[in-house]
Amino acid sequence: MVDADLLIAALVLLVAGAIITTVIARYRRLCGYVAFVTALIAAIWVTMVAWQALTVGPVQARVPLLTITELGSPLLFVVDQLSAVFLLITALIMVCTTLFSMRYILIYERYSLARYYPLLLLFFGSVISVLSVHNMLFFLHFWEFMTLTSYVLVVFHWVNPDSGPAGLRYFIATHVAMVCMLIATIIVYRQVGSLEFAAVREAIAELTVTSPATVHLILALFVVGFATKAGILPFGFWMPDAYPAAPTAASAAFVGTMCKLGVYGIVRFFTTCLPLSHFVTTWGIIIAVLGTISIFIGTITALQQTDSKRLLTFHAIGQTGYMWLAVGLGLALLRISPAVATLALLAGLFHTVNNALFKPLLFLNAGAALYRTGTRDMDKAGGLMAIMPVTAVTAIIASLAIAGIPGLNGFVSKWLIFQSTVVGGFELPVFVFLGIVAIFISAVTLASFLKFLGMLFVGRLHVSPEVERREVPLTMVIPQVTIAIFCVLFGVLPILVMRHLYTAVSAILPSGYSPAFASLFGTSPLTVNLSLSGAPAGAWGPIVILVAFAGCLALAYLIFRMGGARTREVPMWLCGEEHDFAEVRYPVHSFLLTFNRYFAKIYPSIPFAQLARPTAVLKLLDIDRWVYDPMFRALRWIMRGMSASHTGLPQFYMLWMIVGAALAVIVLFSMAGGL
Amino acid sequence: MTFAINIGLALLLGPLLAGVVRKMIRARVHSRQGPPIVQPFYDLFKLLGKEDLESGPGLVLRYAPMVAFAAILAAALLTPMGLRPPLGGYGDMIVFTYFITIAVVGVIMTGLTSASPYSMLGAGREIMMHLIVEPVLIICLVTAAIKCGSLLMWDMAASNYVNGPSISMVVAAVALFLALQAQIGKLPFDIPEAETEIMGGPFIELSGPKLALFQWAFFARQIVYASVLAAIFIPWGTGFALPWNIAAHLLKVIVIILLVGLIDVVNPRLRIDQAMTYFFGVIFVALVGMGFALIGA
Amino acid sequence: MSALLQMSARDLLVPLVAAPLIGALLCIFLKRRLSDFVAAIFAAITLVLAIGTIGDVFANLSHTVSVPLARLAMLGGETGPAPLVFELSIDALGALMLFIVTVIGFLVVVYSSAYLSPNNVEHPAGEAKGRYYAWLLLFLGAMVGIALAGNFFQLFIFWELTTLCSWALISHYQNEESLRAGFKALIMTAIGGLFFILALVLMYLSADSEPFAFDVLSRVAPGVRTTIFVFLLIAAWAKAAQFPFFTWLPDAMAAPTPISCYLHAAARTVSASFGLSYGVGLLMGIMALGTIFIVVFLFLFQDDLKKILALSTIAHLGYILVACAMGIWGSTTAFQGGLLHIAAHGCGKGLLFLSVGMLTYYTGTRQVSELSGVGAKLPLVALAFFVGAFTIAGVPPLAGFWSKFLGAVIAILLLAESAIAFGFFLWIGHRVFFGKPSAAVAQVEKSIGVMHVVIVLLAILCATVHIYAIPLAEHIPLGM
Repeated sequence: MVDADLLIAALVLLVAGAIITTVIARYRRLCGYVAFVTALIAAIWVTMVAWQALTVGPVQARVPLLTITELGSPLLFVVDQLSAVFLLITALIMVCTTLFSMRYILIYERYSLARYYPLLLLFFGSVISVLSVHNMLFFLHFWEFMTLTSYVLVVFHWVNPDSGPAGLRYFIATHVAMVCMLIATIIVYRQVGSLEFAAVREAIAELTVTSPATVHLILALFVVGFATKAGILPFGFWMPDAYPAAPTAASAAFVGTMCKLGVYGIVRFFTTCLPLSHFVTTWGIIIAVLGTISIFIGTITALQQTDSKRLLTFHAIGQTGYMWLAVGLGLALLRISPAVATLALLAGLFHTVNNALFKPLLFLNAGAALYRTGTRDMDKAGGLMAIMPVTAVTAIIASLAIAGIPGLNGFVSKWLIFQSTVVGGFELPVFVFLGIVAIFISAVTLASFLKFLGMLFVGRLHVSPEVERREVPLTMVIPQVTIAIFCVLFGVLPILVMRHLYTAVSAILPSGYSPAFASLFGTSPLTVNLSLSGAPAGAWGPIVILVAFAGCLALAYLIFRMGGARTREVPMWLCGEEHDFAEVRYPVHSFLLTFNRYFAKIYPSIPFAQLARPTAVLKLLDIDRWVYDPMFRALRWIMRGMSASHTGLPQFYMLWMIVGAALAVIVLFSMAGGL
Repeated sequence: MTFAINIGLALLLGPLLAGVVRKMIRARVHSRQGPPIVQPFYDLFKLLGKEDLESGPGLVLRYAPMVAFAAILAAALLTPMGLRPPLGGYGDMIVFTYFITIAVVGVIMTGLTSASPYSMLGAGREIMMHLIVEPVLIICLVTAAIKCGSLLMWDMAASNYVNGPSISMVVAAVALFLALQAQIGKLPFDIPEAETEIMGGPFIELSGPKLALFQWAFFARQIVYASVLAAIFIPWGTGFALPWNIAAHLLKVIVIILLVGLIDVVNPRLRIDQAMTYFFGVIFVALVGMGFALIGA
Repeated sequence: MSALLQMSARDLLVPLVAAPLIGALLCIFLKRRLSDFVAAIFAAITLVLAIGTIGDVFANLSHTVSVPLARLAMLGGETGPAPLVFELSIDALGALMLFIVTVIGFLVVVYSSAYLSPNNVEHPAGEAKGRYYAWLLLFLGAMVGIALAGNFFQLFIFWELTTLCSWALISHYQNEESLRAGFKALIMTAIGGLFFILALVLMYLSADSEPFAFDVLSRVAPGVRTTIFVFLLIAAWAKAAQFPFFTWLPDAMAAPTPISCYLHAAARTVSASFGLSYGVGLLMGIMALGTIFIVVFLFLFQDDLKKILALSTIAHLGYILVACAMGIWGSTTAFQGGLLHIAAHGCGKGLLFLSVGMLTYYTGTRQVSELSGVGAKLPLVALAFFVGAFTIAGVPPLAGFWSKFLGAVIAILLLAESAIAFGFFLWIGHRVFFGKPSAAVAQVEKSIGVMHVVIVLLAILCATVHIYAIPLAEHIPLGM
């Protein structure tokens, strides 16, 4: 039996780790070990708490750590099933990225690690905190703290001319988003005078009757806030610059945790803080549409990239779109169809979990390639499978997973999302079209990752001569393999994962709302037999299908071997001519050029407008110029005039005395009533 | 038993029909004699025994053809061919489309691994064709799914048979037929391979058993696609008793393949951008069909 | 220290005001190192005494400790007993201000010992340090006096004292620019001070007893009350450099070290407002909001780092005034948030000023356009600047978040302002500290000194001050 004290202990440990790594930042390797051990222990503790919450029930700290009485806000750590899901992901990513960092970060030789490890640990601490508070004030507090720490990581490489503007955009965009949420929170607070999620729910319930427009405003502000963090277009415009700018391990951490908090925020806010009403339906549709826009624009733009990390970042935008689509669909149908809503929310959560696995893995792959080759440009390096086979295999697994190839985890969640869009389409037809976009983009994703794989990993080795020709160090291989194993595991045994996610989904919905797990997904432990309202709607039995596929593969192998053909290595055939490989290598940007031309303008790059100096307005505001200076001059002029009478000649002073005396006499007489 | 039927149909009927098309249609259009009907089998067996030349790094290049071959067979196991598909209870239309996609991935990986400029060009074209053609298949299948309320392929076939034809299904069938040529890599859409232009594209470096596997997989793919069109969108005959339903299905498949063969012979190849423009049109048609389905027509 | 904590606040108040004044007197006669030393000692004594006092206040937060010192018999006359004119008292608000004033005062004194040196690239100086410290300590004493003021009369005396000190400090370098700026500051704030006198006269004429006590506004007729308050408000506007009196503060940046942290005196005056009509509150709020937006607009086109900070200070003082206006409108939360912002902004802006001070110390320029890549040469300064910027922008875990959250409960408009201003600060930070070092930066010779220690301490304070300040702010009642 564990309780939330362990969570607090983990947070304290992370803070302590941050302090220690700051102190010993000079010892670069030691610093890495300390950070890793800290993260590992903290992750184990967080996992224990989260697992307890997921399997037994919500875990709550006994007393609040502190209370802001004025705002009615106790800082109480609560881990419920939904938080637990995200905490488990965070724990895994935390361990993997810190382990990966140990060697990786050494390539930044001239940069102090005091700006890396402490911030990374604090970042994870803030993510964990965001996930385990049920109070708007502290939610926003830790949320913004997370922005701060991640911002410092984004500008880690700050001499690089790209990273400054990237960090600037990032922080300003997310800060504005936070301000949006703050405004919404304050509106709510004015209503009830408390910031607990439950109180927020009451406040909004009141407002739905008294002032629907206000509710829409609140929801809009929150959606903008979460969309900005999650990287949903058009609010996530900062993302393609910011993620590549950070050290890759940190990018992996962002994409595995922070990016997913946008989804967490939406689910949490719309289920816990919002009473079930037509607002949920309306905003569910808006969320789904926003998600679909991101899916489309993000992924299509990814297809045009030649920088590996930028490509991955655009995919992060697209993938988050999938989660938003599913979650939006679930929310939109909450009032209409419990079964489909549960299915869609589960699909969204599952995709979030899966994405938090393969997306960081891809970033780690790209990071490993960067570590070895020193470039992110896929034109300058390629065919790395020849020198780093393990990394390449994990990259293939991750790429196929994100593209949704059956047998890997990405397929299951995408499959659930498509299912829910099609069946959701019976209720709200717009979702079928969104689903079609999602399926189409799924193919684009595949195309894009085939390009990523084809250019960077498979194919002929193409690196500069000074590159060391061996696999990356073990500390970088282990995290990649670990996550890859999870990708395969979740892909083969989806039903086990889905059971736990179902617990989370049914816990955030009103009790008794969701149909029983067995009635939705069947009773088989190996096959997902999806059925809605009793009728079968779809099926995915990974074990059976994969066994059959293996059988087909064996058959293929038999046929392959049937003729007893011998193998011989030959040089590449270039129609009889001889060329150096570098000469004939197909450039990345030419790949898929025809297709990309159709969508070349889809992601406009908007430069920061250079503000012109509005001279006229500035003059107007310069009060000195037209108020004080003239007043001062006038005063001086009067003084000058008066001083002109003081000429220095005694006769004049005599004259003044006589005039003065005469005046005095006249005044005195008049006062005495004489004359 | 159904396993054997589906695998057998895909593996044997594919090359056989290809032979028929060559002998009866292409040779006739060309006004020549033509090879024997079983010539595709001769070619396959010959290739299987030939030397396997490898020009690129091993792993991916070695297994990609097998994966593509196996994926088509797995898709065949999910396809209704007159009977309830053997794996129908374990995978629905989305699983089916993804297995088709795996085969495409096999092709593309082969092209990418070969790293020859021709193969890269071919792989790129293959991806683009896939991107633009796959939506048609999916939209049509979703149309069927909306009509029957389930994504299981056999349910779709059965439902369409029971409920009879509807506007949406007819439009979907037309759209699917318009895309069929590209889906099975026939003229005017054999752009990725384009023998006369980029010398086989992704397959330029292949020889021997690898090439044989790909060729065989493509023969099988024709049957799979034709079966989907026949079973789900032209469902007549589905309700017959055991031997006759298979016979009806075979008949429909043969007709479709012959039609495809005819179109193949009488058309020149399009450029990739022309093809894309064409398929945007087809996608639109398919979407119209889906729109009909959504309003219940 | 423990003995000090044993003493009650009552015993400590008089020495607390006296210490800096004695120090100031001593410093007049001292030179160079010795003056550094003595000034630091006296600032430290003040700080220790202040902490002792605050410790006592913490024991009972809603209680007010006051020590009546002098009545002015001359003003007694027929209307009643002679009014109390000197009275040291401390309550939650006083404690809040006292802490900020003494801590920052001490740090500034220590910082100055290194800043006023021949090595200063912008203003090589080391002469006349005694005079500088005398004024600085006098300023500190005056601010302590304001924090501990028990009535309006005393508040006015110390108020004018700060005006005088500002003048002297701004003019410290005695060149054309600084003399002009000092005179401008003196004139503008002194004109404001005249209105204060008018207010005092009105109080004296209209109240029956104790005409200068803080609660006098509740005892006079409503019409007079409004007049008095508007007069006080004009004085506060001048002092807090609000529209239309804001023009002296940017020029005042000719001063050697930051004195801006000391400009919160105005808040004390305004905080005495209660029972006023909504109209006055509205006037106050609108004026402050107007100032904020004018200033934000101005600083977007400003190239001088210190002027940017000065303009931002004006905006934040406006922020506090808006919160006070909200207080008049009845929102306790906003009011307390605004006063909490005194602490947060005092620390954050102080840190910004000190870090910019170091920047000019090393590079000799404060033009944004001439600076880039400073971070590589002066990492600690960069850190300090960013911590300061994040604090005033209200990024957790720094202090500003809390005051912003409390203060913004109504004044949502302010959030928009703060987002713009913060974006600009971040841009400045990026512009100045990141990238490749510019010519002015390349020649910097690194050295570690007492200034580094000061900014680190202040940065730590930025992250922790709310822990101390929130309980205090929560106990400031609406009105005195």
